[in-house]
Amino acid sequence: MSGFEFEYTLWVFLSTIGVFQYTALKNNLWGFVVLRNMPSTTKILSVAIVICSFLWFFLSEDRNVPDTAEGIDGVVQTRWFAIGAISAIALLSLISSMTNHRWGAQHGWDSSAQNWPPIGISWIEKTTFLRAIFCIIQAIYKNGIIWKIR
Amino acid sequence: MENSIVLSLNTIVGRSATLDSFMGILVSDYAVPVIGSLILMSLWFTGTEKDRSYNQAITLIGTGSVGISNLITSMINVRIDRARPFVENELKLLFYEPTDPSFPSNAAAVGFAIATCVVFKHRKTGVLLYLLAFGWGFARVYAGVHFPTDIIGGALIGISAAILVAAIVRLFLFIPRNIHKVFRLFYLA
Repeated sequence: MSGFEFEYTLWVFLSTIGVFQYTALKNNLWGFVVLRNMPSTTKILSVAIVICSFLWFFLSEDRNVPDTAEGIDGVVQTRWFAIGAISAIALLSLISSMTNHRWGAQHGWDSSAQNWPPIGISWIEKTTFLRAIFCIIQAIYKNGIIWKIR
Repeated sequence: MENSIVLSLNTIVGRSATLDSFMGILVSDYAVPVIGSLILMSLWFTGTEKDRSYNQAITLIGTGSVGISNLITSMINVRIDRARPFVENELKLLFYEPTDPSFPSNAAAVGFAIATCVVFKHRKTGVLLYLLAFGWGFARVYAGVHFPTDIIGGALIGISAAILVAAIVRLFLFIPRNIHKVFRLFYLA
């Protein structure tokens, strides 16, 4: 990984953090919001992260460099974008699951009363990502593989 | 005529450092694709339980159409070896000297493909993406690395690729639908 590729991936990583937090907040996916109790701060911080990361990437150096020198071609760019974005989302899912741990437990799933927990990302409006994953694994272990997914 | 457009636009280069810096960012290989990809990614999480699946389909179609438009552009590049504007003219370049053929513009193809996928469901975001794609294409002409018809050709490829991928997805809907179900099971969709 060259220095340019590292900086590109870091830029994508930081931008994804901002965009993901803003989107989660706007769409009530509270389980993904790290600072769930501070929506205004989250909104300001997420916009600031995106703007600052763009400014840092483009103003720190001349980025118009050919692929034959330090630049990144399309295929490699796609790969580093995927790595940067997925790692940002994974890290935020982990951190938000920890910061919202108690809140997520209040909206958990009662395994004694229901066979299956709610399916789909909308449940993250009421619980955390890790708790949802834990519940679905628990349900699969208890009921076997679900064939008819809603 | 195309040459005169490129030459007259290129006379502006170097007059304003601010404009050149802005164009230098807009023309780059990174700004518009990353903005477009971030918007596509955010659509994955956007909407209510009802329309989120539709938005997630847009993300997938957008990703697919970028790949297809890249493929079509590369295939045409092999057949039509058009020289870049800076080869025949003395231009002040704001960009490095690309070595691949000028026609069609891969940048325009990618930009317009993403915008076309988004515009049918999200008008405002789609229009914003079209403006970005147009700006990207314009900046490439301004920077002296493309002729206007390269941009028009790229734009047509991007729009066609988006429509083609959407049609293919609709035709083989059972494949993404089943993958989507597995994604939903693990709270990824």
